[in-house]
Amino acid sequence: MSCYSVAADQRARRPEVEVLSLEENQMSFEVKKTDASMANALRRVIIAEVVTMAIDLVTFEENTSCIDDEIIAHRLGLIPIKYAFKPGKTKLREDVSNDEAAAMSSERDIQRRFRFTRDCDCDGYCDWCACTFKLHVKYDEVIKNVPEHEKNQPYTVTSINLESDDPDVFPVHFVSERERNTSSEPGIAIVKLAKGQEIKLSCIAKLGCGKEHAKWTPVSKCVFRPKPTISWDDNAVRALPPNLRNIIVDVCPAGVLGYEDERDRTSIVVKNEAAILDFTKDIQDLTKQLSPQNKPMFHASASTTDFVFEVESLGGVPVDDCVLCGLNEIKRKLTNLQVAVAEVAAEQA
Amino acid sequence: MNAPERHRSYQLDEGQARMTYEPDQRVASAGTFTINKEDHTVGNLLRMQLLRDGDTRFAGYQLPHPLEHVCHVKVETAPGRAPVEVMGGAVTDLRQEVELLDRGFRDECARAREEADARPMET
Ligand SMILES: [Zn+2]
Repeated sequence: MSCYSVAADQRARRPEVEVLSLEENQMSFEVKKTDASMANALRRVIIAEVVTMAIDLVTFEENTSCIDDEIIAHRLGLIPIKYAFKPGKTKLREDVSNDEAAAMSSERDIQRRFRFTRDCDCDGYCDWCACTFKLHVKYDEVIKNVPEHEKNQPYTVTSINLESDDPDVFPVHFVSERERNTSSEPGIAIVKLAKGQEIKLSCIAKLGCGKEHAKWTPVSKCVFRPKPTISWDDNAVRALPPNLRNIIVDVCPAGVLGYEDERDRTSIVVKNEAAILDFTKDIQDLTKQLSPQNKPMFHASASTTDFVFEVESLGGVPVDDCVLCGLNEIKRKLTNLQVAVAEVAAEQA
Repeated sequence: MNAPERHRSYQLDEGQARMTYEPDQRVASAGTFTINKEDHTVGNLLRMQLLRDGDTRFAGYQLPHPLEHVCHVKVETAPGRAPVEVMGGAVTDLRQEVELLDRGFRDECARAREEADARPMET
């Protein structure tokens, strides 16, 4: 008998989701009543299997900057590319069957607009499997438009100098409004040019996923941690003299423990759930020493069913779409497996 | 340039089957599923789900080599229920679970957005 065995009707889990915060480029959510294997599958697909677009081929016509072609090509590849679906205006692929369309996460899915170059019947690349960007900056030309006091400085070529040939596809200059307001440059720096230098190139952006190269990964962060289950022996804590309660709070770094009510200071609560599991033993040892019955006043353990996710998008794909595309990718895998198992079963019969 | 194409790690080769099954030669109602172009994501997911079934006696997965894009899942079941049957149940259960996760996530995002819109603008 396996310790995991569950009655047949309880085999399938009924998970729940709670969004804790949803901002411009980052979000945090909790998945409950599931398993670490499902949480880890979600984390892995978001990082490695969400389809995005990135520059994959660069043709140099002129590069007199002090940076080598391959370094510039690599930097261009890492610039996040955004596909912005405009309802009614974006021309969508017509070769997508109804089943395929239903299997995509939404109309915003980049695969409604582009297909993989390897699936395309074109020769090399075309409008349906790639997007072209042009970059042409000549120091002596651009310096004319620069304010007088900056004229002897090198010019920084950034992502805003990239010109897309598709109105729905463009490079991401900043991941958020906040980054835009604090940045000293107008976009993502590619190369610096000095007097007399010039750079002229064209780039082909194609679909791909993180499994091929990390430049197609849509997120800069995608992590999960088990939700801690916390319990305090409130009566025992309350019975302690105030200075001993202060010692308990101070056993962890600032901000991990705190008082429920700053003025009253009788009951201690966990202020930072993400860090608490690292200090559980310290708190238990200390409260055990302080307890007249030699009993710890605190218990915390990692949940095996509830997990807290934190995801941060690079700006190419909206952060909630990163998760939806990830879920969709697992769905696609499992649907394929359902078909495959049925085939194996038919063979065995 | 003889590097294999990058998509070979996740797209099936021409005519390749997603899954094959090899019954165990010595143990009855046991066998190994070979899943092509899948990795730990699916391997561990299936293993944990298979172990939730009361008829599973053993379930384990293995990636034989980092350059071979193949995942082996070995299952032994109680007599009376074939490994293929248990595997089918596990895949269906997982498929259902992801559907619920997807729906829950969409609803929650909509709720979070509504709440953000209702809040007065920060200045
Ligand atoms: Zn094409």
